[in-house]
Amino acid sequence: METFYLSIAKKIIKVSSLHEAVKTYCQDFLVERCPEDYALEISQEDIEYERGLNEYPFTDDVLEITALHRKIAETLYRDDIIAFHGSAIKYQGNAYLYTARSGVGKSTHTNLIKEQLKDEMIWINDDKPFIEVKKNQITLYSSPFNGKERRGCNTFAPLKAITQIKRGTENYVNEIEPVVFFPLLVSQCYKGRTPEMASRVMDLLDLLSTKIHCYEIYCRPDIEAAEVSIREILKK
Amino acid sequence: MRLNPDFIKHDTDKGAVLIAVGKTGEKFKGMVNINKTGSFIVDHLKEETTFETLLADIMKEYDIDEETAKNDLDAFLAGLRKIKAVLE
Repeated sequence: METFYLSIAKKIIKVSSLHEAVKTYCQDFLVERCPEDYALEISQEDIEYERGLNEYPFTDDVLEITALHRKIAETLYRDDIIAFHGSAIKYQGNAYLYTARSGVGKSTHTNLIKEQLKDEMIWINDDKPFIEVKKNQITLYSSPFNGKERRGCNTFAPLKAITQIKRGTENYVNEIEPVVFFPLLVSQCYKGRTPEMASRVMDLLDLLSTKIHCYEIYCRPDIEAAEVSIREILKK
Repeated sequence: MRLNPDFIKHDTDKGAVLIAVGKTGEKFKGMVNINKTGSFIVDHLKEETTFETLLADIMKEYDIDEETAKNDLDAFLAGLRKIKAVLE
């Protein structure tokens, strides 16, 4: 059993894990031992739950990382922090989240933006960031769970917009009414395993949808798509 | 029949939605908008019931004829079955 302390979304989480690889995976978010806000322990039962959801025969240490993300998400919602799926970037001090169903090209699109903006843009998290939803401020936080390419760093920023990426034959952006955008938000966040958590997350999504800009971008996987994204979303 | 316990109804200012949690939520990540009658049916599906009982409940609650109520209930339940929100 490995015990370590993480700081995610400004919360200190004491983690007791079964595999050392979990601590290594989370290395950018480790902090010295200190009074924790929450203590989480991953069990073999948690790992088996993850195994039951996956068709691919992942090893226990990989499944434990997924189990840890789930447990963190099921803890932080109590502090109005929800787990999201998407590629989050930081530009001129603000966070922008690009989301889509798996395989549509979130990372490809943000990679193209990176090619254009170079050091002006950084990846906050390329897979599973957390969003803190408060009445006066929406903040996007990174997490150790940052995708296959491990793009991201331990940072946070006010969230300005969420954009749904859709494949298209032309590159263009539409701003979307929150009520129309809401189903996408529902599908791209983690709603938990209990009615209590799901209800709370839904309330937070309601608030979130009214506090940020919601866009959809129809795009090709080319550099012009990044130029449109920068002009119509990041520089707007 | 009854509502799959992995599905929950969430009421908002604008109406109600049905979402899935747990293992079902891993497969059905979206939501279903439901109107007032749909919300009424979902509430009654929280306990074990039958098509006939639901039909009677709807006709008692709303001023509609049997044929309309039957068609509406059939269509609504078909939608729920499609996303495995109803256990038979």
